[in-house]
Amino acid sequence: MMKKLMQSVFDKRETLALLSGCCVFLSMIEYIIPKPLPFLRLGIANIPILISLEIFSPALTFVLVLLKIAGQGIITGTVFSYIFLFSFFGSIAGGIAMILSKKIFNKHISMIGISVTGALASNIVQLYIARHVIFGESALIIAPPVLIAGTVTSILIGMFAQSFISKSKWLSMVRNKKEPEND
Amino acid sequence: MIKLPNIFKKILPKTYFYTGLSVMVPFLFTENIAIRFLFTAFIIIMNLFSGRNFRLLPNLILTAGVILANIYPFGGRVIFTIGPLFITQEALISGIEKSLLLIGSVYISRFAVRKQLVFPGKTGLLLYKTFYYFEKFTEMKLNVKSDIIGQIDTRLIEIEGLSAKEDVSSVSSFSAKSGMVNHLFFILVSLFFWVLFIASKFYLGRS
Repeated sequence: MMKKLMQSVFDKRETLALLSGCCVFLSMIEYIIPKPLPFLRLGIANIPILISLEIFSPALTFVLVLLKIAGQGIITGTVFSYIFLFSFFGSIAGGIAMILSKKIFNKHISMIGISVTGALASNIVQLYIARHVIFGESALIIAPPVLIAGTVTSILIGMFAQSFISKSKWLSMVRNKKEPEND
Repeated sequence: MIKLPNIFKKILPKTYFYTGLSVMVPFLFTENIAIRFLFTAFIIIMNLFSGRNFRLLPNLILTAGVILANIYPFGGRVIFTIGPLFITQEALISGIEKSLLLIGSVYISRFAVRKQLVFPGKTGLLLYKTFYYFEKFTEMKLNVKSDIIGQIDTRLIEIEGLSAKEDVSSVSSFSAKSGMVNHLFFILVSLFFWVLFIASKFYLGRS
């Protein structure tokens, strides 16, 4: 199974790297915006992950999530910091939730639904870490605004992804293209 | 703008990486708030000298956020009030401690990890390609007043497959030979952190 996944990663490496490069670029934009708490994010770096659900298998989408985590950790330089803990576990939880919701509901769930599911999973895990690693009981105070803000921004991000998927020429090219087996 | 001393130009990405790893341990395990402040200030200065930037405003906002988030469980002596919020001495110290921990660890990490650091193997190659495309995206001139989706779409079409034409076989910063300057740099920076850490354990209290 692992060998098959590695072959799939190799075959689609250019598209995979392109989308992860896009994730890192959007992470960088988010990083520039000042925020009072390390895990208060807009989540725009999840847009390429939502798009990838349309073209990649669940396993490849998960590889993209891992690349996004590593890439943003390196580019923002937070890979050895506490912030990386939030980013790592939040992204993993959000990624798994998005992949599962797409897998389970398939055509019966919109990008907005997938995005909200991912954001909620990510925020809950990050609040759990905040409660147990950094803030203690104070995390309970910040939970409601974090969850509300996360839901609102994830709806907007889902709408953007939905619109991109319906309009994108690049996406139709990727869907129609058979990637080279080897080179 | 700070003029870079020449020594920092000779330091390899892998030296920054190993030095960052080495200083992270004393930074995380020091319990003295003054020493942690000193470590944070030192690493920010090192970041500036090594070409990384420092922005004051995000760090001030982060500190204020962490202090505010620490108000809730603390009783004790009230130092000042902001509207309905009572800021106690314990909450303030705890907030400063935690924000120093967050900010310091971010800057040690930024010091340690450079974009030029290429990890070996297939995963390293995939990460290299990720950064290659990231650079291509940064060259994009995004006009927020016109069709954003269309602009991103065009950019994706333009740059896909470009990295396949690049020769990346020679890229491996971990195999680069490091000279005396790099060794000295690692030893001196690590010594600074470890000596202060050990001294603080023996001679200084928690704050």
